[in-house]
Amino acid sequence: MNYYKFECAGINIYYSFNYEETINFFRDYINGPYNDINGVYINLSKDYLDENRWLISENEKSNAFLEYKCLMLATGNSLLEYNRAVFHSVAVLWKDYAWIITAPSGTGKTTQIRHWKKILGKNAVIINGDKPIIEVRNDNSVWVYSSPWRGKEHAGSPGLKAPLGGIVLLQQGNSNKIQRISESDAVIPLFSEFISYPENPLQIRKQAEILNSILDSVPVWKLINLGDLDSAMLTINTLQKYLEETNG
Amino acid sequence: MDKIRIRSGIELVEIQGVHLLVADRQAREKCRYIQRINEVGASIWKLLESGATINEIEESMRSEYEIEKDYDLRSDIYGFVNSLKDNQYIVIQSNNSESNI
Repeated sequence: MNYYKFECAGINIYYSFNYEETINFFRDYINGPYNDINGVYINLSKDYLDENRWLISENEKSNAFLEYKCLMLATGNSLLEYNRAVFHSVAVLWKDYAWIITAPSGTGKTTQIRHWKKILGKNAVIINGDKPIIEVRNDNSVWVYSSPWRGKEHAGSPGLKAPLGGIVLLQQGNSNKIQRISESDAVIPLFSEFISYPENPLQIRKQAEILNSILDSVPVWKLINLGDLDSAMLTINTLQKYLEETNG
Repeated sequence: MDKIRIRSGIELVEIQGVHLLVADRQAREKCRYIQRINEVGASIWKLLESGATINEIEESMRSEYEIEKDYDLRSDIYGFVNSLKDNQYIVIQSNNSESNI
């Protein structure tokens, strides 16, 4: 059996793939093949793949793509016990911090990031364009890592990590407005964006613990927006002001 | 007597003071993934988990919270428990059949 190692936010995860082509989706993120494993091992049965066919569109026939997406789910579940989670969002590195922008699909996350790049140029680096990994460390600091699940635009930088600075919840609207929201108001929208499908109550509790720690550590803003350049500018200015206030 | 059974795979969690019922993979086939409940609802849920009857829940709530004697607490408990049933988080078994209480 061939095993491929994915160093995932400091945890070694070993995959063995059902389909040779699946490897292509993990290029830049995995090493191998190896003959044995020294870490978490994930191998999905073909029954599991069939059960989770809902993850891909009906037009998508590639079994390798299905396996890639199912591995995202299985990895998300496996990481929970290590205080890590796959989180549906985009993560950008700016001013030494990772900034997460999250919302349900189709709300304009990618558009926001394009605007950020226009405004900030090389000063903003995309850590991951769709599903970064979040780690809550023992000292309660929160770190953000890149992952192979980068979205349609394949935006992301393998090996990049940064401490989380804050989270922006996106909502479409008729004007641009940003405001900091309470931790309790952020619970449901953020809980819904974890990429996991908890198999048992223990995984549910871990997911809750991770979110609780994130909300203890970083602020959350809600951005109601038109999806234009001004909305990104408003966000960047708000975060800049926050950094100035907190860092003196 | 009606028997209230909590569906397997439902977990009550508290995050930043927000109480959520969360369904695991198997339970999600029947219930919503996340349901927010209030603090009183969370207390009732914990009592249901311990196997308490409606009478025991009422007794416990009256001792835990300051509730006027004449207040129809039982109706509130029934309302909450029936909403849990409607959302498939619990099953109420009465004379070998499922029903409201």
